Amino acid sequence: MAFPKSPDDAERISVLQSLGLLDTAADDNFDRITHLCRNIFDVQIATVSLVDEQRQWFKSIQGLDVCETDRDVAFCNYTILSDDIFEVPDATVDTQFSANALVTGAPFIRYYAGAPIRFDGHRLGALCLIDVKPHKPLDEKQRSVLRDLADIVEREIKVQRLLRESMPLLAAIIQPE
Amino acid sequence: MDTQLEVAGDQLVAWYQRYETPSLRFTGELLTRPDSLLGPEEYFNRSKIAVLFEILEWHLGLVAELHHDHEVDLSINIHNSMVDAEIDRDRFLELIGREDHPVTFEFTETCPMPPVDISNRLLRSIRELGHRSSLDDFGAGFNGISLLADYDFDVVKIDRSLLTDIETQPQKQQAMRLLARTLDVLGKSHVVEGVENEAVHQILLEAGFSVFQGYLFHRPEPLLGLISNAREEVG
Repeated sequence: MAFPKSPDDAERISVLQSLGLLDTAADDNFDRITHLCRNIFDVQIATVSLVDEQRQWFKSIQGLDVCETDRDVAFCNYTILSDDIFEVPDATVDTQFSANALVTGAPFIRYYAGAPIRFDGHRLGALCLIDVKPHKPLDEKQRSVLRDLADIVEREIKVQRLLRESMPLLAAIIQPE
Repeated sequence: MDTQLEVAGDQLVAWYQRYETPSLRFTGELLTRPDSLLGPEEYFNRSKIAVLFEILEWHLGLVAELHHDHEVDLSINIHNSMVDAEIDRDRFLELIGREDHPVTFEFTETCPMPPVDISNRLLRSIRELGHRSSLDDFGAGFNGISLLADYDFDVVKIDRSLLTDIETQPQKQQAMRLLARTLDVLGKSHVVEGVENEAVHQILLEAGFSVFQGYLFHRPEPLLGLISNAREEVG
């Protein structure tokens, strides 16, 4: 299935892959945010999805037992094209998604909303709300809550990266001259 | 299970060193002493992959017996060359996937690991099989490149070289405190290697570390003693 790419896609992927975040362990800090998403927005599935070259990989996923999907079926391909929230209230009647394998087959997605997760000027992926039933579009207040939660994800990625980079430097300070 | 193995003309003897830990569980590291002129490191660096796998199967058998019969959990050292090629990684995962109890596998920072994407997938597979991965010798001979920033190990073993002169250098103590806190915030477990005197132990406790390996607590011993003592107790 064809999907759009931003002009910086190759550089974006290289930044993502350099973070040492893909394929890492489940992390309570991200799981708490997806847990909050399910409760606040009353959706079946919430994910922190990172869009890699050929796949989307879930740093956190609740409500569905997979760790990644092919990139070409990922709704997040559209979310990472801009800084705005991308929303599909009912995928079965949306010409762009009605034939998507995740809509016509398991998990039978009908609703999707994603807020992009940014790092160093690139959109690495999205904080996603997904459901098997259609939803009304998010109102202004809900959009603002989703954006705030995505901002927390962004900050968690930044802070963890900073801490991981600082450990070898601490070791260098402690090393005998 | 025999605590000795004859492989490729060499005789190997299993030793162990116990950790000092607040946990009640007996934990430590499985060590291997080759009966050759080479030290263990040199011996493993020169060993062929097939030999390393034979040693791994022996180690897995020992560690399983210790876990099930003696309530002892020892970590196993993995030479990084065993996970370099895809076919060997698959074989490694297939072997450790047969174990029905958690095992910690130690990889060293002083030998190259596969690229970050491949390694993190390997470390994730180890975790999915119910086991843990450990980065050995963190901080040894720091060369500006550390696996710790990018590679997702569950446990970090802090090299003894970081403890040099720590008693007299407050700045090092402060840096060790930051290291302990950073590991904690990132959810990593630790073992501090090479703790040899009580003054250093106290400094590390105050810095926030709690799991130690070193002569102050236990000198390496042949595994035979541990198993036969336990067998006598059970008998």
